[in-house]
Amino acid sequence: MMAGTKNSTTTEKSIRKKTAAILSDHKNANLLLDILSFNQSDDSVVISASCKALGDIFAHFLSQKQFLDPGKTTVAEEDLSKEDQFSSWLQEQFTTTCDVLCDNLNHDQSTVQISAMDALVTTLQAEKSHSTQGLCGKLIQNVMNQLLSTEQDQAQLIELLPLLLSVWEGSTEVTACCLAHLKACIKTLDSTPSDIFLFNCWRIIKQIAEQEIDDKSKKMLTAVVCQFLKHKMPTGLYREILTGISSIMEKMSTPIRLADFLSESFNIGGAISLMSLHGLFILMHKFNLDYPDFYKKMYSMFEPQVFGAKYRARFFHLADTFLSSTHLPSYLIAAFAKRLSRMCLHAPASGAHIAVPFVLNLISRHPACEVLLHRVSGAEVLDSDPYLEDEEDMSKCRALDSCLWELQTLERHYDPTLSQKAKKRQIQEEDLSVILDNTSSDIISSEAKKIKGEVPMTFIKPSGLEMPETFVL
Amino acid sequence: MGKKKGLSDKVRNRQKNRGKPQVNPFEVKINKVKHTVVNKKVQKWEKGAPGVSRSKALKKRKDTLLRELHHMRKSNTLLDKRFGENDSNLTADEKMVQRFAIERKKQSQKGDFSLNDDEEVLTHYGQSLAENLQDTIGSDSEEETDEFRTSNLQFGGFSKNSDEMSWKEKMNQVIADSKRQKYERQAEKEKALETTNELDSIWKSVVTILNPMKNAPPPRKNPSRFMQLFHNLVMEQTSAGATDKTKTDEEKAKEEAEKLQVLEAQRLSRMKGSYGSEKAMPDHVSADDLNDGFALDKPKSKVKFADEVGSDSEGAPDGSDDDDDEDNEEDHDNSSGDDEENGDDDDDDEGEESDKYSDLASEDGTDEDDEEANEKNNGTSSDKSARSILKKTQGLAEIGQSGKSELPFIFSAPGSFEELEALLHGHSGEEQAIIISRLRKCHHPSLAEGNKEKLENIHLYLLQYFGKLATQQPVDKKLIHGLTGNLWELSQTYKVTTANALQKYIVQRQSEHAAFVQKKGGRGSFPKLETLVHLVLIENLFPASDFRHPVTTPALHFITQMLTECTPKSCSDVVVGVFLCSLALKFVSLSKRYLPEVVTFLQGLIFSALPAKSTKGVRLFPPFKKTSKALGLLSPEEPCETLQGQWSLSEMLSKENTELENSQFKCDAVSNVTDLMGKCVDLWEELPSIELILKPWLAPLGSLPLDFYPAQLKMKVSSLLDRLRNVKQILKVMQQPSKKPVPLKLFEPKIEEFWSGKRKKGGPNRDVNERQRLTHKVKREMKAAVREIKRDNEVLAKHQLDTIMKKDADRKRKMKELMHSLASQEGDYKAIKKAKK
Repeated sequence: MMAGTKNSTTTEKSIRKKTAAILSDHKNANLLLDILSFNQSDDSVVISASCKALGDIFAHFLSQKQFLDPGKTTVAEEDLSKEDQFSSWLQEQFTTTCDVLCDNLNHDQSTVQISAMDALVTTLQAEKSHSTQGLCGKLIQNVMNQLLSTEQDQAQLIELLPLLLSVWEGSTEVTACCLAHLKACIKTLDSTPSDIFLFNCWRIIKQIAEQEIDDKSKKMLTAVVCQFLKHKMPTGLYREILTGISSIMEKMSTPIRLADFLSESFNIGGAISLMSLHGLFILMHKFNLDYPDFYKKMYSMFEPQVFGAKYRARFFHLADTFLSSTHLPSYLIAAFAKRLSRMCLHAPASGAHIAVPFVLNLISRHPACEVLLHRVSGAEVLDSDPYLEDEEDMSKCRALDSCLWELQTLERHYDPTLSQKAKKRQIQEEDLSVILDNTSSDIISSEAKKIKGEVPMTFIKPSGLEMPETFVL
Repeated sequence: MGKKKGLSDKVRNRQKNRGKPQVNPFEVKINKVKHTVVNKKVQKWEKGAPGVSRSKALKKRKDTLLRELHHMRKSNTLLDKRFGENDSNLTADEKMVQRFAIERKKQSQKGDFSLNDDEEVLTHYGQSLAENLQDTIGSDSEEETDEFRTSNLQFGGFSKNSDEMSWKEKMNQVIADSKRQKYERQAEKEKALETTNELDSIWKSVVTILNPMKNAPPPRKNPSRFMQLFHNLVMEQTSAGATDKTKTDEEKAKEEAEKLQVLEAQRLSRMKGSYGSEKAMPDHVSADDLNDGFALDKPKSKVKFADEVGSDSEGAPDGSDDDDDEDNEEDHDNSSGDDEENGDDDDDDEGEESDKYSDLASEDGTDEDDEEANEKNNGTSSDKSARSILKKTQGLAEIGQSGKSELPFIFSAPGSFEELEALLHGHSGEEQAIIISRLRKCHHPSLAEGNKEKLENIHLYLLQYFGKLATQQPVDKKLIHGLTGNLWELSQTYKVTTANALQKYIVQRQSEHAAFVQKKGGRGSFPKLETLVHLVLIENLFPASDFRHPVTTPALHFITQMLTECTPKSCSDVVVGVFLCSLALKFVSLSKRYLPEVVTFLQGLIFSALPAKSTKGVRLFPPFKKTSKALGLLSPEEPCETLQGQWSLSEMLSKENTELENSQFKCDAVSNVTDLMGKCVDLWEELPSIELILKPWLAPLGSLPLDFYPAQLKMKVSSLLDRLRNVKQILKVMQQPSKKPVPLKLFEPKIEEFWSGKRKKGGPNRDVNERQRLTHKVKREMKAAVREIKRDNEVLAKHQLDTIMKKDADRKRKMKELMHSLASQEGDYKAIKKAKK
């Protein structure tokens, strides 16, 4: 082991020496072959060192304009002068280097991958003044192929993709090139692609969508995304897509084409439908998507499980935005208020902490719903609550005939803060974002304040440790 | 008889009137008054003499401003320092007289070092007359014998040599004088001493009569009525204030009951959440309050009660039979305490009310510990109580000697938890209890300085020890029970310390739990016995019924958090879950607050008792899921005949899961859950939404596998179901409390009921008042200053104009003169010319 590391450090040193030699004098250019051969080594340290060296060398040559004009390459080799011969040789080496670096992108070690990527970026940066379109296209294709690996999760490399893309000044063309390649790749996919490929693919799409793109690529992006989403996704990726799709929608030419995907996921139910809410909302809000039973669906999503879900804060935030419109009919708002307050009866304290202000917010935005709290006309005493819990149609659930007796019940809740909130029934819009992330721990730490002054104690001495009934110690 | 005014009167009057010059009535201007009031003099500000004051101001300006103008750009000034030159009140004669007097005074003044200050030297032509005379006498060529005669003749002979005492004689006389005075003083002093001694002896004889308590007087025969009255009065004076008679048993019991009533009332107000706000409001104090604590119809102050008790015990009579009394009390208390203890055992089965009562009684019954705690409460740390405690400990020591002679009676205070552990290590539970109680007695705060802190530390270590006891296997129940009592008593003194320690414990446990849940992705595990026991301890030490309490509120939150985040996976989990539910219900047993988490958890437990086939159509709440392990955890495989009684928490938790998992346990669990459900219904029957709250229970309860259950449980379930179905709350339509209409602004005069004769000025605040006053003053001063400057400018302008006019007039006059002289010259010239012709 020791020997191995020692060996690697010596080779690393020799690589550095050779690089310096090449950079100082062109006559040492043959050492390039040695460095290239090091690239086939098993040691990751050596490989990354050689990648770095290659990057530096070619960046140097490119900046020195040692390269041949692409037009001259057609001339027969014998006719070229010595210098030209050298440059054509260099050209050859360059292409092989690019291939080697691209191969390294798929290496097991992430350090090697990253150094290869860095080397590519440095060479391309040097090359950008006399960029050769053909070379570039080829290179991109190569890189994309490596990134779209079916075996390896390339998340780390994909993070670096924008760096590569930003090298070219007209990066829009390059992005278009990338997209075209991506499109081709996805098209050729079989019906059951590997999960890793899908993950890589999605991440690349996400990175590209973060770039500045022109109309043409926007169209392309739309096509790619639509094509991509047709495949069956693993659950983890599905959630990732749903959380990230809103940012991609902004870059798509016709995001409305996502409507099918989003509405399907909305229909799945549970957390997935919860997460698709935002995308759907954007479509409805900005692209006039007519989603007939949106509110009905959302109404059915108000289930006790919502309070336990990981995405509780997100859900309530979105629900608050959907219901913030003052143009919604009052029966709808009343139904939501009633349903949520019903849920509060069996909700944990942390959930009710959000729900009670939520309900009061609803009523404050819709003065017509104040009858829920203050009913003047009609019978004074009712036998049972007229609200129909199981009715799915909000217009028929008679929420407007009911009152929020649940709030009256919550006045007797054990949590003092909640009890006060319910008792106050302040009809005033409150900013929910402050309390959305409140957990039980937050509530407890706020209750367990520093004790000052007198603390009330029991005045009856317990006869031993008094356990609750039906239990002894 | 009228006295003719003399010259002196005239002078005096003139001088008196000189101060205020006579005012010409034509100059006086009186401001017009709106309402004349009869018999009221014209006020100072209603009249004035504008002409006079104006001329005065003008004069002043001329004297100052114009002088300044003259002196402008002049570096030298002449100061007139002559006496009275600037004083217009003096006439020229007076001035001269004064000046002369001053001159004389100056001349007669001697320097600080002049020796013969009392001699006035007569002079002639500036030379001392005496010297001249002596010269003439000395220069006389006559004999010595003539000297006497001449001196007699010439100067009256008043200074005789024989009369003059020599310096020595003088000194002798002085010495003699001082000696005489000294002797006189001494004699006087002796006399005074004698008289005081005499008086003292007389006083002593009087004092023996006045104070019969100290010197036992000889038995008097047939005291007169007057003397009797006199003695009574003397007695009253010495006792200084009414004494308290020793209280009878009924009175004591009544007092105790009253105290408990007050405490209960306080607890209720805290439960409603109004305690803090009430406390924050300062008591209303009448303006007439003399601050002597006397109030006519003031409600009995709640806080003062404890103090009163304290002062009572302090103000106990100091008589010689005091100790005996106390002994009697003790005796009585001991006997009553025994009685109560006996009674306690009998009362156990009765309902909550009697339970409460027995608790009350047990407090009033006095173990020594109880009394000690009371004393600590009252804050009396008099020597007396310390002595009594010492006595008690001695008594206890005697008892101890007979029983456990190997335990020492005095322990040094442990400095750390390890020391306490070492102290208690190796002793049996009972011995440990004795050690702890002795520790407490040895370090009673009244015994020595610094004991309070020591005892506080012991208290903290005991709390720690309590936690440790719960982790031991097997759990020493008796010791825990004993320790709880000790902890309660200590916590009555060290309230804040206890609260802080337990609050910290809860927060720590909670954060551990939260971290675990985070790690496991939303699913927690049920707590260990130690945590549970601590939660029970909190319930025992602090009033869980409070609306908001720094310890019980977080504890209850912690319990409910565990109920929402932990799914029972095994039978011991079920035990802990049921225990947590029942503990949570015990927290709210008095305040009857609603616990949604308990409702959902109990429903989940019942659901886990269902056979797999009948689980359809039941809605579950988190943390229960239809796919979780809890499913079927409590559904029995075989019928069970009987129900076991109470569950022992420590034993159940120490058992293996497989040991627990049998039909017997499952039936017991279901029975316990149904009991708890019944209790829930009892507690929350009055909630408006109770029907909806209990609705989720109906379906799983209805489909319980009753065939497997013993008859008793079947009965329980069916009665519970009946009860659940019949629970109904009439819903009253909700209405907000109507807001008071905002009254219109009234423009009637504001009538003050008690008008002090002055209109109140300014705001309510002293600072505001002061600020207002100052701004007003600044405004006025500003105005005055502007006015003064204007007048000054007017005067200056007038002066300038005057000077110009004067110059012009001068020039005109000169011109006229010139013209005149020229004209006359011309005339003369023409006349001469004419004459020549």
